[in-house]
Amino acid sequence: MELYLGLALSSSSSSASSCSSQFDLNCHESTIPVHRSKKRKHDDDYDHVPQTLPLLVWNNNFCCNKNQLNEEHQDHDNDGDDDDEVESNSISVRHRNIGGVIGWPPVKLCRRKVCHRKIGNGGGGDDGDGGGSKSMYVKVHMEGIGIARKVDLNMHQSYQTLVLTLANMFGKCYGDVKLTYQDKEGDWLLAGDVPWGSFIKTIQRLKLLKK
Amino acid sequence: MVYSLPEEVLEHVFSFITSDKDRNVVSVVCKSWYEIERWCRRKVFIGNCYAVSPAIMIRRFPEVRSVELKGKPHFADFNLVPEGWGGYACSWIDEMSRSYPWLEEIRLKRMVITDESLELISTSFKNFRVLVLSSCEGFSTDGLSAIAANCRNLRELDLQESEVMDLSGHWLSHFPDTFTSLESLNMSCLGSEVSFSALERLVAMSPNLKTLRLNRAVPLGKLSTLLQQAPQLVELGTGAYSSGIRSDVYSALSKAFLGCKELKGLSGFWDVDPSYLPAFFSVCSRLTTLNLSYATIRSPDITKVINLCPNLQRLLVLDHIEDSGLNALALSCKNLQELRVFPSDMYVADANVTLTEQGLVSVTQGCPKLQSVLYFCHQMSNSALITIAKNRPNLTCFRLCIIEPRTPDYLTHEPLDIGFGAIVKHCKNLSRLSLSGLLTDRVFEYIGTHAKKLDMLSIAFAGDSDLGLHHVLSGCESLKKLEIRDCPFGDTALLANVAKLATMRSLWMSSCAVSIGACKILSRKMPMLNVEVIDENGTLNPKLDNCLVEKLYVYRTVAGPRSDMPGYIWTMDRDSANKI
Repeated sequence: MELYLGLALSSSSSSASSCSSQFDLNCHESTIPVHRSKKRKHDDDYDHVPQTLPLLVWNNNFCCNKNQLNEEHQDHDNDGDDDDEVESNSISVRHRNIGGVIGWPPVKLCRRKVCHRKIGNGGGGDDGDGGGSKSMYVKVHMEGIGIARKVDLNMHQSYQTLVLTLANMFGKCYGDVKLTYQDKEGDWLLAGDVPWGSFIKTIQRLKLLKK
Repeated sequence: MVYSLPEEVLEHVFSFITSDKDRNVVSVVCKSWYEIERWCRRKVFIGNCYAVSPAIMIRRFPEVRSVELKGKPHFADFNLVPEGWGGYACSWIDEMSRSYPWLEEIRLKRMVITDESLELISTSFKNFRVLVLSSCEGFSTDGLSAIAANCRNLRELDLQESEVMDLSGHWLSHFPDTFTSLESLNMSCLGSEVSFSALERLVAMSPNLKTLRLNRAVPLGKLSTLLQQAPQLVELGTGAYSSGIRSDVYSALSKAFLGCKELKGLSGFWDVDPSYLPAFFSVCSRLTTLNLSYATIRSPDITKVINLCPNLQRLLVLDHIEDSGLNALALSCKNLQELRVFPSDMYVADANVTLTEQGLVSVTQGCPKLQSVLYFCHQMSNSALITIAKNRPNLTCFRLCIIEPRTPDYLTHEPLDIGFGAIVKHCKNLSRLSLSGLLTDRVFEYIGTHAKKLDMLSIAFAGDSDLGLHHVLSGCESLKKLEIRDCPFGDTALLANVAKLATMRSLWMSSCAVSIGACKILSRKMPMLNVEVIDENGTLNPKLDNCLVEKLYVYRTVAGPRSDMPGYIWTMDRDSANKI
């Protein structure tokens, strides 16, 4: 039920009640694709939605207009439970949820690079001056190859393009490799499980493994 | 008495008929016209490379000089089509190299082409003139070297937005000293530097050069040199448009632009330093096309430029133009036909950028010839859309992208159904439409009822039920391309409109509610369609009929199932093959 923060919001907080009709309009019995990343069993299983990520939160937060979003946010500060997740999700959605929804907004890669340079400049914050661009090079090793390479993570906004670039770099096929990374704590993890924005903040180095 | 014109006369008459549609109509008048027409058809356009095979094309049209092919679905532009999907040019190039020795032009869009194919092109067609690779990939600068070295009569080389592996900046030096035929070069997509001396030499020996689009790596200081060599240019794409504080660069540039009396189109403008903008003001009064969509300059600077361009017909710009800049556009540019406004920030409204629906309303009010709109923004209202529709019934292309999915009318909090309804009702010649914002099934009812000339429709995060899709498929008579993502559309609508799919080029549905069972039924009922299910994650269980599919691509074809599908595509044929 955790993921239905939006829906939980609508039933538990009064300010969002005007939203709920909109939720109903969009989210009731029709088959919303989000929960479908696992096999759908039955319409009745609607309540037991497995954990898929930002898309559903995105839906719910943006069903309302921005004023209502603020109201809900305030209300939830008082609620206690679900607090952290709502916070982080609203924030992640408001503060550049890069890689949250694939292919949206519908902008070609060559243009995304221009936008991204602008975002890359600001780092976490808002200095917003348009000059130059910041690179974020990390080392990449390929299993079985002695020489490491470097890749600029700021040139990418999704795992897909990153793996493709890395695969090409080492002359491998996209489908033959899997990507792992070492995070700030020194642990080696499989890439792709966390939203891109979190990945960028914590990654130290990369390793490509053969499948 | 039966009187008919001799073949040669008919052929001569047909030579004046150039549009594909007209040619197709001519060819079905009678058998003899079919025969005559097919021998004299010189240009073939194939909107889906898998709809027909090279052999079929060559058999029917033996004397073709120009071929245009499109490969991947449009949503490949936005990363929705996985790697290895297809769109390989190889078999086409191979067969044409054997059968069309006089081929002059190849135009590919969203296809994968290798260096080997490029080399084959360069050696197979003695009179080769035009190569356009738009949003293509799979090749490197080595392939370009072969083209440069061997195509003696090359006129046009356009690499528009392709992904090229940059192995060497020296491919340009492969044009021989005797090469003088170049008219158009677009290398704006290249990531790394090209040899400047080779570029300079090429420009100097190309007196007919009309279009030159440089890549970002060409420094501003070198641009004046090139312009001085090519004052006859009609279209120019600059490289990076900044150079520190260099008054000598500025004055040389300014002088060079003064000499370009034919210049009508400008693009490029990466990394713009606003202090260099006035250098090109002398050409503004003649400009018909201006692409500032990579220029992160602010509204006052953009407005200054726009006010100097009264003849502008086509403007591409970032949302930095803001409402104020669009108001200026509406006042100054009465010949404007096409406007594209791109987002500078992908996800959240930048507090410093005030671009709202008002800007678009102004432009539709002030620019009577406006036909084509692509507009990214963060808010929209039904009243604005209704105003736009009434202002501009001559719109033929309307693509609106409200960045946050499912955003309602910001004034009334209603869905945007009636707004888009007004668009399709008033704009009777609308041929392309992209929807966004909060939309119910009702908008599709309006579209099905009114959008009779609609050729291409893009839908995302919209609708409530299958009824929405049914309205579109049953109502839009001219619909050829339909692409849908993240909508609750499923089996019922699809299976109720199977015949419609055979009248369309293609249908794309991803993250919808279509089951594998429905795909099987569709495949069985419609053998002239290829029904391809993309199962990237390997989670599809084809035995469970109600298992939903991730992505579905359906297209009509006379070539049967394709032989180059990657492992993650499921089709009925593969399914039956597995069972045997």
